[in-house]
Amino acid sequence: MPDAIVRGRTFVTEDQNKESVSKEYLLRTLTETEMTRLEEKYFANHEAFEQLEIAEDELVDAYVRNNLSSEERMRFEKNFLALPRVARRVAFAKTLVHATSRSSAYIPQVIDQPISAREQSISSDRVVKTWSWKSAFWRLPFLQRAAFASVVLVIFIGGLLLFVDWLRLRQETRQLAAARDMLRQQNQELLAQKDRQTSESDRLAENLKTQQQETARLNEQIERNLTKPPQAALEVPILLFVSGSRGGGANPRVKMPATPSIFVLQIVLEANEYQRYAVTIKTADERVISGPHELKPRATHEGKVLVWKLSSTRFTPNDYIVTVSGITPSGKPEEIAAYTFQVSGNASSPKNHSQHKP
Amino acid sequence: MTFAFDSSPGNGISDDASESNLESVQKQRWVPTQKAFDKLLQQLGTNREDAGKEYEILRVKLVRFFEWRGCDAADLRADQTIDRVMRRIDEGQVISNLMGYVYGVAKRVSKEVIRENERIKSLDIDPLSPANTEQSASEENDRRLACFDECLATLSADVRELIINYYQEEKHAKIIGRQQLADQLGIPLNALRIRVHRIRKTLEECIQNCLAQHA
Repeated sequence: MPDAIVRGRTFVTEDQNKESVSKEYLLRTLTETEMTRLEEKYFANHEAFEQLEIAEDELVDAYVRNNLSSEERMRFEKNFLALPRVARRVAFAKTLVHATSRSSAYIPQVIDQPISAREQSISSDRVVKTWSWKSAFWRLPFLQRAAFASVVLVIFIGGLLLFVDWLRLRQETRQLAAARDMLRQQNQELLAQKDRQTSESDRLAENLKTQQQETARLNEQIERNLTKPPQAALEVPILLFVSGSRGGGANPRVKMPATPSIFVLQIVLEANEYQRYAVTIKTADERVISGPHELKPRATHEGKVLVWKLSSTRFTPNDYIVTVSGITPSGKPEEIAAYTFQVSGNASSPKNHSQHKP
Repeated sequence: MTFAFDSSPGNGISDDASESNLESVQKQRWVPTQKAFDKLLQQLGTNREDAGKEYEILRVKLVRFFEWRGCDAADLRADQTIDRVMRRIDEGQVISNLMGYVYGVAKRVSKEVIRENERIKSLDIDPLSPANTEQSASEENDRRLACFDECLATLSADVRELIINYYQEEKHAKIIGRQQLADQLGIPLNALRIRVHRIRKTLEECIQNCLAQHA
């Protein structure tokens, strides 16, 4: 878009103004002062001179293309066409128009009449006739014009329908593409889910296999055990007195047996005031090992004793507190005493374990 | 560069038609010399080759000046102007603004020509007696078109394409088309006009030579 045309408005640029002055100079419509100013300029400046030569090119072209007003044409013919150089330039311009139009859509017909500068009568179609669709159309007979217009209308409507159809197809194509993308995404999700399930299934199969192997191993062990004579589990008695009573305040100490055994806790009661007792074993840091476990007192030579058998595997080397609560007839426990004992490191043999120390 | 001198008596033109015959004869007797021409060249440029080019441009400017002013025999008037300037320089006149001085002389010559033409008109003599140039326009056009094609073929492909594209469109489409062409080449519109003008000049010269060869 040329600078001179902005938002539908036309402004005269500096270049266009110069072109206009140059054209007026060549057609000799400037005043003497204006002419002198321009001449001084182009004598001093080569570029200004070249601009005038270009203006002459364009004037000759405009003449050949019949783009001059009648007054301009008259002046051009009067002032210029007598000059052999300009006559040659006009001939060249005609050739140029003819030659360049061979490759364009329209073909200007250069009419080769001799041009006389002295002829003042100007015929508008004397120099160049330019073929145009508009003029050709209006030259046609009415019926042909109507037929031509109908064909153009049909082509236009057809084109419009095709365009609308194309828009609809484009919309459908977009929707289908979106649906296809969604399906592709779903498919990917399903494949990922399938992979996860396959992985889980493999893991479960592996677990099952491991469990089957473990079961088989245990069965073998059971069978081996069945073939062996039964052995009674080793029982380790631990006699507990209330701290500060007959026990003398020292904690009973027991060594951890090398093989799993039964710790037989014999809790000597100070007084037998309840029918039932609740017993709990904790470590020194209050971690419950077992209990509360309900026990009934037995009569022994030590007096009333609560007997509680526990697997040695529950214990590790540590200090333990046994809390004894009496259970009231209403079922409410009332703490009555606490007993302590100590389990130390492994004994080398079950026979080496030490008994409680009073 | 060599300078061809025209020593014919008609070469000298009087500065002022109102001057006495004696002065006129004295002025007409002045003949340009190589020395005078060298002095002019020195005024036109320090380098002789560049000065020669400047001289050629100056002469073209003078010819166009006389043509555009409506003077007949523009070539002759240009030479007369140069001769007068050379004479003044040869006589030792100091000229600070050579182009301004040349222009002043040319303007004076053009006024003389106009006065002369008015005098001839009053004697009812037609100053322009064009020869009968009736010839076959069709043949001439065919020759010209053939020469055009021949000359166009000597240009490079991009130059050929440029000049054809430049001259293809009409009126408003032409303005838009030329602006687009300038944008494609990445140059301002005026630079494009200058470029095309120079190609056109080359093409015109080529066609003139071609026509002269086939005449």
